[in-house]
Amino acid sequence: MVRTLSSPAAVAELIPPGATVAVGGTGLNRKPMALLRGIVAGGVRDLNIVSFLGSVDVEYLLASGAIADLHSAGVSLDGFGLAPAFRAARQQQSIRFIEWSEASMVAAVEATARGLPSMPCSTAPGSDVVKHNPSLGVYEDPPTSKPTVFATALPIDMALIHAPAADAHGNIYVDGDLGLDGLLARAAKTTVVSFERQAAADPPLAAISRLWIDAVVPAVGGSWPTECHPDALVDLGAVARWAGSTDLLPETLEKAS
Amino acid sequence: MTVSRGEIADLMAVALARMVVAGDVVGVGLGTPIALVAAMVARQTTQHGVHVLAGGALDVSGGVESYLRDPRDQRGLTPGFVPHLDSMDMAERQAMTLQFLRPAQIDRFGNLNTSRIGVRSAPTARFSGGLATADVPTLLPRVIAYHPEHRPRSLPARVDWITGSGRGWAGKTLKAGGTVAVVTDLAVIEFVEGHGRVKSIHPWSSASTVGENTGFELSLPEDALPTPEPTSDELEALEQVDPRRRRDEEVPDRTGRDRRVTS
Repeated sequence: MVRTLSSPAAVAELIPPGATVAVGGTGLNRKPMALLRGIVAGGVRDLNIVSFLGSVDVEYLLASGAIADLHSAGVSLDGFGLAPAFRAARQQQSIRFIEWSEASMVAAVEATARGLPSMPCSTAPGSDVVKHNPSLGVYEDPPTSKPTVFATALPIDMALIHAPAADAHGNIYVDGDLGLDGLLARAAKTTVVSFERQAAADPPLAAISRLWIDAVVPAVGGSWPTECHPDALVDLGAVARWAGSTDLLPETLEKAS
Repeated sequence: MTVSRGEIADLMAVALARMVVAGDVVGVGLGTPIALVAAMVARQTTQHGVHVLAGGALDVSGGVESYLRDPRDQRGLTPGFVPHLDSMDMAERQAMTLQFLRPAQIDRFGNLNTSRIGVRSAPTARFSGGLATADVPTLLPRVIAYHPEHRPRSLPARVDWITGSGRGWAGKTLKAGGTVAVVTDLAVIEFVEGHGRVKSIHPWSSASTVGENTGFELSLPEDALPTPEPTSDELEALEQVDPRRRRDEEVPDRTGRDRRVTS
């Protein structure tokens, strides 16, 4: 049964302290910013954040002091360059950053989604990413004896996703690239989705079945300043302002000025 | 000799474009305009049959700005979208054949660093992270790197952090070509069996400048020629695909050494 939350802020009550929270979307696409603002407003801290390809989601949580550990294959502002809060946090070592490659993180989440202890992946065995990430190791692939990178399953307490539409049953509709969101919903113990608008039910066309969804909440503009095709464009001005920001105040990413 | 940012960006883009071969499917990122311009110039000049994949959109008609557009504006301009996870499978299945990558560092083994400069406990600079750079150099038939600031720190004897491993794993698990070359603001260097070999030197540079600014030993064959200047066809293609010169943004605006940047 899919619940409907009263507001994005209500998500804060569902998150236990020290939880591992996976953030959906990729780069500047469909980041669940309204849900993240709800977490920050609710005073949740010390989170283990998983963000496959992070951008302003990671920046906002870092600026708010909500992150203890960060798992990511990369954090940047795409064409706007390096992410300033991420860069500062790593240079000051104020968080623990666990670096992944794209293929290894997909494998670790897929292992969780499939209930497997680990998954092989196509990441290069010689990479320092493999050497320093405790979830990755080089093993002989049992059937072929080839040195292969294996990723152990990455446990995820909650996945937070923003989508253009949900129907009354809690099925989720996405127009365009789903990124990792389908896998995250299947891997997480609890999945919460914010959405722009309610759509007529058309379950065979759903990008993510209600089976994997625990709660939904309407949030118009809930991906701001990132894109949510076809409802919202990237707010390029807001991203550029953040890229050039020196004080890194979280309020800068709370609402359009 | 004096050279502008624009001349550097143009020559780097066409030097990359000339390495595209028939049948290539080139994957590039949206944050690296020189790579995107190079792939599009190749398609426009000599390799009409190749495919260019960027930001999930395939062979977008129009210029660089069309790729950077919102997907809703790309409807009608592209024959296909490739979801991110599928593009990773394309690399794994070698359905993508070439990527242009812009690392912070590259060494003679073709190891790429997109993660950090300095020792791990006290880094002096941090970058975006592993991305697909830890995956693709051992998957794709060819990876070609580029770096707009050729200095000993950018081309060191050994990268500070191996994000993408190069030829060191050849013969073990490397099913692909690894990083085969790097194009810089001074020269084009090929990697063969753990050695860097100068293929050509840009007109504003010299063998001694290239040598002094490289952190590893380079072989300089007798037949290393000046990198040919962009042809009129290439210049026309550059103008068509990138009229607003997004490619110049990747070339640092600073003076130094014998490369005196004028604009």
